[in-house]
Amino acid sequence: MPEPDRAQSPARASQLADEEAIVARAMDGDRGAFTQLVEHYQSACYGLAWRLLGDPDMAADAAQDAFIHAYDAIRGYRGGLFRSWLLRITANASYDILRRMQRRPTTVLPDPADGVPELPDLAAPNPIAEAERGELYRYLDAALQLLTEDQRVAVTLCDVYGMDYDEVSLMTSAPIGTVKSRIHRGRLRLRELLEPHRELFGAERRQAP
Amino acid sequence: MDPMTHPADERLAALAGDELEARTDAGLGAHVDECMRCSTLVTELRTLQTALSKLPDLVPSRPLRLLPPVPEPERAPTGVFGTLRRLAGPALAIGALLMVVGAFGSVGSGLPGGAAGAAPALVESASDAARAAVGSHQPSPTATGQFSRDSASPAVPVARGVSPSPRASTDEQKSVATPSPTATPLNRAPTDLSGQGANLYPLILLLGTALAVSGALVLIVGRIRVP
Repeated sequence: MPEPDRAQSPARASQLADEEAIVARAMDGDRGAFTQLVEHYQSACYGLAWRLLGDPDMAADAAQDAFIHAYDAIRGYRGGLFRSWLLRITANASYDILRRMQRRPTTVLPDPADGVPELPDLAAPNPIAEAERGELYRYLDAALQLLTEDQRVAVTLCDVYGMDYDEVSLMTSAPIGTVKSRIHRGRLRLRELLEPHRELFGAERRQAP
Repeated sequence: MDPMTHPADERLAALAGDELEARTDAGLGAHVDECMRCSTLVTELRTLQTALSKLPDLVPSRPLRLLPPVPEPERAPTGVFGTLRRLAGPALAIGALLMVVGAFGSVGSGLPGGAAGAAPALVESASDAARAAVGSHQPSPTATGQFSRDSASPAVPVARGVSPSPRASTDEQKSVATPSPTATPLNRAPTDLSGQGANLYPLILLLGTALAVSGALVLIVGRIRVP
């Protein structure tokens, strides 16, 4: 399975400065303002699509579908976090593709040594911890792709992108009880898959409150 | 809960996810507090969730199209064809209008609706006038160029304004004022003169059809040539 480009993986995009004003201009039909918004969040959308679909081309297609849909629907945007709104649209676009393709994971957990090693952020207070975190994320993404489709979608939407059970239930057309069960089993399966690499969680544990 | 009987892992996952139902389960909480295996599992699951929530965004594998393409404005054709295309719409509209006028006019004037119907009417009115002239031996149009109602008889035609008797004069005036309900060949002649106008309706119909068809053709060809 092709790995996403991590050489310049951005951290989670924070909220855009003056986002409300830019959104208002985009709602008035300002294409430049809309471009500014989408440019800012394209990595977030692509990341979500890649995690749901596991394929860079399909993820790019899903992200583009989402942008076009968002452009058409922005007049109906009713406030709240624009990032969450855009991610919901991306998740729906990805899920539509997923339903069409009905793909199933067939690959094994890759060795991160095969991928492009991420350079530690030398400006970080603890470069060693940052390097560990980068490797952990590679394993996490690879392990996510080994979950069943239902579990991967539920865990990605809930644990990675912070959607609540109701949203996931609505998006996947599954009862809340089913969604909870998929998330629980998915987390347990992830833990199992990452058991041989538990030392990678050291940095997370040290950072945990 | 018996410390030796571990709860289902899914219950522990629910507790790790801080779900209300699991959090308020006193027995579950007490077991986890005392059981090393279960508390480790809960801790690891919480660590995993924290790590998942921090997964970074990913750089797209290829440049993404951020906006739907703007529909290109229709290119205005230039040259002779461009002029024709610009004229095609109005020509079609005018042609349609002329077709309607021509069709209604032909029907309203009682003509069969074609140029073939107009010709017999003209011939008929001309032969009527000729017969009247031969019958009187003396062309006797009045000063106004009209014939009296009684002039169809062999009697001398009566010129308007030269009345042989006051009674005759009154009758004449009446005949001029109120047209006869029964048309005779002679008094139909003035109607035929206006009928020449009505005979234009088939031509109008023909012209309208030609215009509309030409306009439509130019539009269709233009759509094929300039998609």
